[in-house]
Amino acid sequence: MSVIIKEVDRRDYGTIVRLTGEIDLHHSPDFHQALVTECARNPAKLIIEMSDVQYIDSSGVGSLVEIYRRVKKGGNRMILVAPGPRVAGVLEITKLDQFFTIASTEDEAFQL
Amino acid sequence: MIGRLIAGGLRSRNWLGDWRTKRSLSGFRQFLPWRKSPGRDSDTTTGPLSRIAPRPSTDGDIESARKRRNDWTDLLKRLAPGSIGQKVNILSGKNPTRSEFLRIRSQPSEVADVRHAVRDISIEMGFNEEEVSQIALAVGESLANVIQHSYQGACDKPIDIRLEVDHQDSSAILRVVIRDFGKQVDPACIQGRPLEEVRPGGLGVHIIRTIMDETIYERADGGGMRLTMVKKVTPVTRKMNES
Repeated sequence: MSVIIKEVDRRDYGTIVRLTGEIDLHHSPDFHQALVTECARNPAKLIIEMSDVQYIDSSGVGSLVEIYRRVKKGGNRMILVAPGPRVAGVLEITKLDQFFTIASTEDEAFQL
Repeated sequence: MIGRLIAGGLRSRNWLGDWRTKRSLSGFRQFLPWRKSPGRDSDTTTGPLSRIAPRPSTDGDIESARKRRNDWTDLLKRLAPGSIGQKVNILSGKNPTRSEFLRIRSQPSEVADVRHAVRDISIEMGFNEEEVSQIALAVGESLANVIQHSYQGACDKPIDIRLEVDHQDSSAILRVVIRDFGKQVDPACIQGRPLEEVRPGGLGVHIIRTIMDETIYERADGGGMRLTMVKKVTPVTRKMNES
């Protein structure tokens, strides 16, 4: 388990990937690979819990966009959960807050 | 106030305690980590960026790093608006500017250290929490762009970082200059891509230009590119943070 991927919770109705730390150019390759691995399992919902992420840069955001496309191509959904102010700020600046589906809680994400 | 302190491979989540070993920064040793800033009166061997310079991981260095942190904090407090006389006394010069210089290698793992130091400085200057995060992001994106584009991923190339704090009456200006020695490109070609094209990559320049008040890309003398970013602390921001 990398520093960025805190926990992977695989359930019948989807997978929750809980993140932590700072997702930057240094950590993005491992972060991306871990999400690619989860995508390969083809979960109906890939829920990415971000409340403990302290920093994300364009490389991390780029990974999220790429994973989103993979998930969508497989006919599944990807939902971001509880991005903190710093992460939300980056999503806002890049206007990706209008692109991703964002939920407040994991439960809400499962209900979407 | 939460800050991060880096020295001799040690970092603190909070500069009053909670020290923990992070990793060796021995990679910096192959460069000249600190140089006197030309034309400046300030001592460039102290301040947040200096804490990134390599030092053995000993208790003595922890204490000296703590002292350097306090020195920097004290300096910024004394440079607060309304203390113009002290500015002149402290810096012994006409220009009340604090200037720091650091050379790092183009390793992605080193970017976080610079980012954290810039965050510390921004906090001390009076930027609000959102601005502090944004400035750290802009600096991180700038360094990432140098590594990815100027050096095309090579990890052993030099990146020079100059950081200046300029106090002017009721406001203050943070100026960050990042210079590389890679390929030169036409500054006019350095543009963020349209956000309507949702795809990975190409967002760094847009982020930098959105966050910073001024962003200037130039061809540097002797090769490479130079990026100058400026962010101003407004009196309103300071007042809100003080209250």
